[in-house]
Amino acid sequence: MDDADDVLMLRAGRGDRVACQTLVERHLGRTTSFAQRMLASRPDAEDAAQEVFLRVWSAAPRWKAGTARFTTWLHRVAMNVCLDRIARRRETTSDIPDVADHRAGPVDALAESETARHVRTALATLPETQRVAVTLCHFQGLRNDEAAEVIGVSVEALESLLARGRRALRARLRQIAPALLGNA
Amino acid sequence: MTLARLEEILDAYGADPVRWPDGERAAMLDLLARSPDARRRRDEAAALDELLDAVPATPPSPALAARILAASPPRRIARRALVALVPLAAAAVVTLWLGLERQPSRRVAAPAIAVGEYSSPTDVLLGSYGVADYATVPGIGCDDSVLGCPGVAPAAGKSQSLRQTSGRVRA
Repeated sequence: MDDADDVLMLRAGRGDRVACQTLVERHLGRTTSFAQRMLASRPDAEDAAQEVFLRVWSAAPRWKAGTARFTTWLHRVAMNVCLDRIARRRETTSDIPDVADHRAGPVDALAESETARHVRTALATLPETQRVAVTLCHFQGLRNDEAAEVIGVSVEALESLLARGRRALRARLRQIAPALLGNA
Repeated sequence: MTLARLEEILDAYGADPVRWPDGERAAMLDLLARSPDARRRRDEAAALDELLDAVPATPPSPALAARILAASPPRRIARRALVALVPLAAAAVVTLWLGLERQPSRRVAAPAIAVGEYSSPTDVLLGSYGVADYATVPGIGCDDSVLGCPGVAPAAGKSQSLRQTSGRVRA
Protein backbone atom coordinates (compact mmCIF):
# COMPACT_ATOMS: atom_id res chain seq x y z
CA MET A 1 0.00 0.00 0.00
CA ASP A 2 2.81 2.38 0.85
CA ASP A 3 4.60 1.65 -2.38
CA ALA A 4 1.33 2.44 -4.08
CA ASP A 5 1.11 5.69 -2.11
CA ASP A 6 4.57 6.56 -3.38
CA VAL A 7 3.49 5.91 -6.94
CA LEU A 8 0.32 7.89 -6.40
CA MET A 9 2.34 10.82 -5.09
CA LEU A 10 4.57 10.76 -8.17
CA ARG A 11 1.52 10.66 -10.43
CA ALA A 12 -0.18 13.40 -8.40
CA GLY A 13 2.91 15.53 -8.91
CA ARG A 14 2.34 15.26 -12.65
CA GLY A 15 -1.23 16.43 -12.18
CA ASP A 16 -2.85 13.00 -12.45
CA ARG A 17 -6.38 13.64 -11.21
CA VAL A 18 -7.16 9.97 -10.57
CA ALA A 19 -4.06 9.61 -8.38
CA CYS A 20 -5.06 12.72 -6.40
CA GLN A 21 -8.54 11.33 -5.92
CA THR A 22 -7.19 7.97 -4.73
CA LEU A 23 -4.91 9.68 -2.22
CA VAL A 24 -7.85 11.68 -0.90
CA GLU A 25 -10.03 8.57 -0.65
CA ARG A 26 -7.33 6.67 1.20
CA HIS A 27 -6.05 9.30 3.58
CA LEU A 28 -8.55 12.12 4.07
CA GLY A 29 -10.56 10.12 6.61
CA ARG A 30 -7.60 9.34 8.86
CA THR A 31 -6.24 12.87 8.47
CA THR A 32 -9.55 14.41 9.51
CA SER A 33 -9.85 11.90 12.34
CA PHE A 34 -6.38 12.77 13.63
CA ALA A 35 -7.09 16.49 13.40
CA GLN A 36 -10.43 16.14 15.12
CA ARG A 37 -8.84 14.36 18.07
CA MET A 38 -6.06 16.91 18.24
CA LEU A 39 -8.19 20.04 17.81
CA ALA A 40 -11.42 18.89 19.48
CA SER A 41 -13.45 20.65 16.82
CA ARG A 42 -14.83 19.21 13.63
CA PRO A 43 -14.84 22.47 11.62
CA ASP A 44 -11.25 23.16 12.71
CA ALA A 45 -10.34 19.56 11.88
CA GLU A 46 -11.72 19.91 8.35
CA ASP A 47 -9.82 23.16 7.84
CA ALA A 48 -6.66 21.49 9.12
CA ALA A 49 -7.18 18.46 6.88
CA GLN A 50 -7.56 20.78 3.90
CA GLU A 51 -4.33 22.54 4.83
CA VAL A 52 -2.59 19.17 5.16
CA PHE A 53 -3.65 18.16 1.66
CA LEU A 54 -2.58 21.51 0.23
CA ARG A 55 0.86 20.67 1.60
CA VAL A 56 0.58 17.21 0.06
CA TRP A 57 -0.18 18.72 -3.37
CA SER A 58 2.64 21.19 -2.93
CA ALA A 59 5.11 18.40 -2.10
CA ALA A 60 3.91 15.98 -4.78
CA PRO A 61 5.93 17.41 -7.73
CA ARG A 62 9.12 17.11 -5.64
CA TRP A 63 8.26 13.73 -4.10
CA LYS A 64 11.05 11.15 -4.26
CA ALA A 65 9.88 7.56 -4.01
CA GLY A 66 11.45 5.55 -1.22
CA THR A 67 12.82 8.47 0.78
CA ALA A 68 9.99 8.56 3.32
CA ARG A 69 7.07 6.36 4.18
CA PHE A 70 4.05 8.30 2.98
CA THR A 71 1.82 7.66 6.00
CA THR A 72 4.59 8.67 8.40
CA TRP A 73 5.25 11.84 6.43
CA LEU A 74 1.52 12.62 6.19
CA HIS A 75 1.07 12.26 9.94
CA ARG A 76 4.04 14.51 10.57
CA VAL A 77 2.51 17.17 8.34
CA ALA A 78 -0.86 16.73 10.06
CA MET A 79 0.76 16.96 13.48
CA ASN A 80 2.58 20.16 12.58
CA VAL A 81 -0.56 21.74 11.12
CA CYS A 82 -2.55 20.87 14.23
CA LEU A 83 0.15 22.05 16.65
CA ASP A 84 0.39 25.34 14.74
CA ARG A 85 -3.36 25.80 15.05
CA ILE A 86 -3.32 24.98 18.75
CA ALA A 87 -0.53 27.52 19.28
CA ARG A 88 -2.43 30.20 17.32
CA ARG A 89 -5.60 29.42 19.22
CA ARG A 90 -3.73 29.76 22.48
CA GLU A 91 -2.32 33.13 21.37
CA THR A 92 -5.76 34.48 20.55
CA THR A 93 -7.78 32.96 23.39
CA SER A 94 -5.09 32.25 25.99
CA ASP A 95 -7.24 29.32 27.00
CA ILE A 96 -7.59 25.61 26.39
CA PRO A 97 -10.02 24.70 23.60
CA ASP A 98 -13.65 24.72 24.47
CA VAL A 99 -14.53 21.08 24.90
CA ALA A 100 -18.13 21.83 23.94
CA ASP A 101 -16.84 22.68 20.47
CA HIS A 102 -16.28 19.03 19.51
CA ARG A 103 -19.41 18.64 17.50
CA ALA A 104 -20.29 19.97 14.12
CA GLY A 105 -23.90 20.64 15.07
CA PRO A 106 -26.95 19.52 17.05
CA VAL A 107 -27.41 16.36 14.99
CA ASP A 108 -23.88 15.18 15.77
CA ALA A 109 -24.39 16.15 19.38
CA LEU A 110 -27.40 13.88 19.62
CA ALA A 111 -25.64 11.07 17.80
CA GLU A 112 -22.54 11.14 19.96
CA SER A 113 -22.79 9.12 23.12
CA GLU A 114 -22.27 10.53 26.57
CA THR A 115 -19.21 8.35 26.97
CA ALA A 116 -17.69 9.65 23.75
CA ARG A 117 -18.18 13.24 24.88
CA HIS A 118 -16.45 12.54 28.18
CA VAL A 119 -13.55 10.87 26.44
CA ARG A 120 -13.22 13.77 23.97
CA THR A 121 -13.19 16.16 26.88
CA ALA A 122 -10.51 14.18 28.68
CA LEU A 123 -8.43 13.90 25.51
CA ALA A 124 -8.67 17.64 24.88
CA THR A 125 -7.13 18.39 28.26
CA LEU A 126 -3.98 16.34 27.64
CA PRO A 127 -0.75 18.19 26.90
CA GLU A 128 -0.21 18.30 23.10
CA THR A 129 2.68 15.85 22.86
CA GLN A 130 0.86 13.27 24.97
CA ARG A 131 -2.28 13.81 22.90
CA VAL A 132 -0.27 13.31 19.72
CA ALA A 133 1.28 10.11 21.07
CA VAL A 134 -2.03 8.59 22.22
CA THR A 135 -3.79 9.63 19.02
CA LEU A 136 -1.08 8.19 16.76
CA CYS A 137 -0.77 4.86 18.57
CA HIS A 138 -4.28 4.19 19.77
CA PHE A 139 -6.54 5.88 17.22
CA GLN A 140 -4.40 5.99 14.08
CA GLY A 141 -2.89 2.54 14.62
CA LEU A 142 0.72 3.49 13.97
CA ARG A 143 3.47 1.20 15.23
CA ASN A 144 5.61 2.56 18.05
CA ASP A 145 8.61 3.20 15.78
CA GLU A 146 6.41 5.01 13.24
CA ALA A 147 4.80 7.19 15.91
CA ALA A 148 8.21 7.95 17.40
CA GLU A 149 9.46 9.00 13.96
CA VAL A 150 6.43 11.26 13.42
CA ILE A 151 6.99 13.03 16.74
CA GLY A 152 10.76 12.99 16.36
CA VAL A 153 11.57 11.15 19.59
CA SER A 154 13.01 7.77 20.53
CA VAL A 155 10.74 4.78 21.05
CA GLU A 156 11.53 4.95 24.78
CA ALA A 157 10.47 8.59 24.91
CA LEU A 158 7.31 7.74 23.00
CA GLU A 159 6.53 5.01 25.50
CA SER A 160 6.91 7.51 28.31
CA LEU A 161 4.56 9.98 26.55
CA LEU A 162 2.00 7.23 26.00
CA ALA A 163 2.12 5.99 29.57
CA ARG A 164 1.77 9.50 31.01
CA GLY A 165 -1.01 10.29 28.56
CA ARG A 166 -3.02 7.19 29.34
CA ARG A 167 -2.59 7.68 33.08
CA ALA A 168 -3.78 11.26 32.75
CA LEU A 169 -6.77 10.17 30.68
CA ARG A 170 -7.73 7.58 33.29
CA ALA A 171 -7.45 10.14 36.08
CA ARG A 172 -9.45 12.73 34.16
CA LEU A 173 -12.19 10.26 33.30
CA ARG A 174 -12.42 9.15 36.91
CA GLN A 175 -12.89 12.79 37.76
CA ILE A 176 -15.58 13.68 35.21
CA ALA A 177 -17.34 10.33 34.89
CA PRO A 178 -16.39 8.00 37.76
CA ALA A 179 -18.85 5.30 36.71
CA LEU A 180 -17.20 4.80 33.37
CA LEU A 181 -14.02 3.13 34.61
CA GLY A 182 -15.44 1.24 37.57
CA ASN A 183 -12.60 -0.12 39.62
CA ALA A 184 -10.10 0.03 36.78
CA MET B 1 9.44 -10.56 30.72
CA THR B 2 8.83 -9.22 34.23
CA LEU B 3 5.55 -8.06 35.69
CA ALA B 4 6.99 -4.54 35.92
CA ARG B 5 7.80 -4.51 32.19
CA LEU B 6 4.38 -5.92 31.41
CA GLU B 7 2.79 -3.07 33.37
CA GLU B 8 4.90 -0.51 31.48
CA ILE B 9 3.78 -1.92 28.16
CA LEU B 10 0.12 -2.05 29.22
CA ASP B 11 0.35 1.53 30.53
CA ALA B 12 1.79 2.74 27.25
CA TYR B 13 0.09 0.64 24.59
CA GLY B 14 -3.05 -0.72 26.23
CA ALA B 15 -4.40 -4.26 26.27
CA ASP B 16 -4.50 -5.05 22.56
CA PRO B 17 -1.52 -7.26 21.61
CA VAL B 18 -1.54 -5.69 18.13
CA ARG B 19 -0.27 -2.43 19.66
CA TRP B 20 2.51 -4.02 21.71
CA PRO B 21 6.13 -3.88 20.56
CA ASP B 22 6.77 -6.69 18.08
CA GLY B 23 9.79 -8.02 19.96
CA GLU B 24 7.96 -8.33 23.29
CA ARG B 25 4.56 -9.58 22.22
CA ALA B 26 5.27 -13.28 22.61
CA ALA B 27 6.81 -12.84 26.06
CA MET B 28 3.83 -10.70 27.14
CA LEU B 29 1.36 -13.36 26.05
CA ASP B 30 3.39 -16.00 27.80
CA LEU B 31 3.39 -14.08 31.08
CA LEU B 32 -0.32 -13.35 30.79
CA ALA B 33 -1.00 -17.02 30.39
CA ARG B 34 0.90 -17.78 33.61
CA SER B 35 0.17 -14.79 35.89
CA PRO B 36 -3.21 -13.77 37.40
CA ASP B 37 -1.65 -10.41 38.39
CA ALA B 38 -0.67 -9.83 34.80
CA ARG B 39 -4.20 -10.60 33.62
CA ARG B 40 -5.68 -8.21 36.21
CA ARG B 41 -3.43 -5.44 34.95
CA ARG B 42 -4.36 -6.30 31.36
CA ASP B 43 -8.08 -6.02 32.22
CA GLU B 44 -7.56 -2.54 33.71
CA ALA B 45 -5.85 -1.43 30.53
CA ALA B 46 -8.65 -2.98 28.47
CA ALA B 47 -11.28 -0.89 30.34
CA LEU B 48 -9.53 2.32 29.26
CA ASP B 49 -9.15 1.03 25.70
CA GLU B 50 -12.86 0.38 25.56
CA LEU B 51 -13.64 3.96 26.57
CA LEU B 52 -11.23 5.37 24.02
CA ASP B 53 -12.79 3.21 21.33
CA ALA B 54 -16.20 4.68 22.14
CA VAL B 55 -15.15 7.88 20.39
CA PRO B 56 -16.24 7.46 16.79
CA ALA B 57 -14.24 8.82 13.91
CA THR B 58 -16.49 11.20 12.04
CA PRO B 59 -16.07 10.78 8.28
CA PRO B 60 -15.06 13.91 6.37
CA SER B 61 -17.76 15.71 4.44
CA PRO B 62 -17.96 15.22 0.65
CA ALA B 63 -17.63 18.99 0.29
CA LEU B 64 -14.22 18.85 1.97
CA ALA B 65 -13.01 16.18 -0.43
CA ALA B 66 -14.27 18.26 -3.36
CA ARG B 67 -12.46 21.39 -2.11
CA ILE B 68 -9.23 19.46 -1.67
CA LEU B 69 -9.45 17.90 -5.13
CA ALA B 70 -10.17 21.29 -6.67
CA ALA B 71 -6.82 22.47 -5.32
CA SER B 72 -4.88 19.43 -6.61
CA PRO B 73 -1.87 20.04 -8.86
CA PRO B 74 -2.61 21.02 -12.47
CA ARG B 75 -1.78 18.56 -15.21
CA ARG B 76 1.86 19.08 -16.17
CA ILE B 77 1.86 16.79 -19.20
CA ALA B 78 0.66 19.61 -21.49
CA ARG B 79 3.53 21.85 -20.50
CA ARG B 80 6.03 19.06 -20.93
CA ALA B 81 4.61 18.21 -24.32
CA LEU B 82 4.85 21.86 -25.30
CA VAL B 83 8.50 21.95 -24.29
CA ALA B 84 9.11 18.77 -26.28
CA LEU B 85 7.26 20.17 -29.29
CA VAL B 86 9.43 23.27 -29.64
CA PRO B 87 12.52 21.44 -30.97
CA LEU B 88 10.28 19.15 -33.00
CA ALA B 89 8.58 22.10 -34.62
CA ALA B 90 11.94 23.75 -35.32
CA ALA B 91 13.23 20.53 -36.88
CA ALA B 92 10.10 20.29 -39.03
CA VAL B 93 10.55 23.85 -40.31
CA VAL B 94 14.20 23.23 -41.18
CA THR B 95 13.34 19.96 -42.93
CA LEU B 96 10.60 21.63 -44.94
CA TRP B 97 12.91 24.46 -45.93
CA LEU B 98 15.68 22.10 -47.02
CA GLY B 99 13.18 20.04 -49.00
CA LEU B 100 11.94 23.07 -50.92
CA GLU B 101 15.47 24.20 -51.65
CA ARG B 102 16.30 20.88 -53.33
CA GLN B 103 13.25 20.83 -55.60
CA PRO B 104 14.05 21.75 -59.31
CA SER B 105 13.05 25.27 -60.29
CA ARG B 106 9.94 25.47 -62.48
CA ARG B 107 11.32 28.46 -64.41
CA VAL B 108 14.44 26.53 -65.40
CA ALA B 109 12.33 23.57 -66.46
CA ALA B 110 10.51 25.67 -69.10
CA PRO B 111 13.07 28.03 -70.68
CA ALA B 112 11.61 30.87 -72.70
CA ILE B 113 14.89 32.07 -74.15
CA ALA B 114 16.53 30.49 -77.19
CA VAL B 115 20.07 29.41 -76.55
CA GLY B 116 22.67 31.76 -78.02
CA GLU B 117 20.30 34.70 -78.44
CA TYR B 118 20.17 37.52 -75.94
CA SER B 119 16.81 38.92 -75.08
CA SER B 120 15.82 41.18 -72.26
CA PRO B 121 13.01 40.08 -69.95
CA THR B 122 10.76 42.68 -71.58
CA ASP B 123 11.38 41.08 -74.99
CA VAL B 124 10.29 37.72 -73.66
CA LEU B 125 7.14 39.10 -72.09
CA LEU B 126 6.09 41.08 -75.12
CA GLY B 127 7.05 38.33 -77.55
CA SER B 128 4.54 35.94 -76.00
CA TYR B 129 1.79 38.39 -77.02
CA GLY B 130 3.09 38.75 -80.61
CA VAL B 131 4.39 42.25 -80.14
CA ALA B 132 7.44 43.27 -82.23
CA ASP B 133 9.19 45.22 -79.57
CA TYR B 134 11.88 46.90 -81.72
CA ALA B 135 9.23 48.07 -84.24
CA THR B 136 7.23 49.87 -81.58
CA VAL B 137 10.00 51.44 -79.59
CA PRO B 138 9.90 55.19 -80.34
CA GLY B 139 12.98 57.27 -80.93
CA ILE B 140 13.22 58.75 -77.57
CA GLY B 141 13.67 62.52 -77.51
CA CYS B 142 14.74 62.79 -81.18
CA ASP B 143 12.77 63.19 -84.40
CA ASP B 144 15.47 64.91 -86.41
CA SER B 145 16.72 63.10 -89.52
CA VAL B 146 19.87 65.15 -89.46
CA LEU B 147 20.88 63.48 -86.28
CA GLY B 148 19.99 60.03 -87.65
CA CYS B 149 16.72 59.65 -85.85
CA PRO B 150 13.87 57.65 -87.40
CA GLY B 151 11.82 59.56 -89.96
CA VAL B 152 8.80 60.51 -88.00
CA ALA B 153 6.87 63.62 -88.78
CA PRO B 154 8.23 65.97 -86.18
CA ALA B 155 6.18 68.18 -83.99
CA ALA B 156 7.25 71.73 -84.67
CA GLY B 157 7.79 72.98 -81.12
CA LYS B 158 9.70 69.95 -79.98
CA SER B 159 11.99 69.88 -83.01
CA GLN B 160 12.82 73.57 -82.64
CA SER B 161 13.66 73.08 -79.07
CA LEU B 162 16.10 70.31 -79.86
CA ARG B 163 17.83 72.33 -82.55
CA GLN B 164 18.16 75.29 -80.32
CA THR B 165 19.62 73.10 -77.65
CA SER B 166 22.11 71.52 -80.04
CA GLY B 167 23.01 74.98 -81.43
CA ARG B 168 23.74 76.24 -78.01
CA VAL B 169 25.89 73.22 -77.33
CA ARG B 170 27.88 73.82 -80.55
CA ALA B 171 28.28 77.52 -79.82
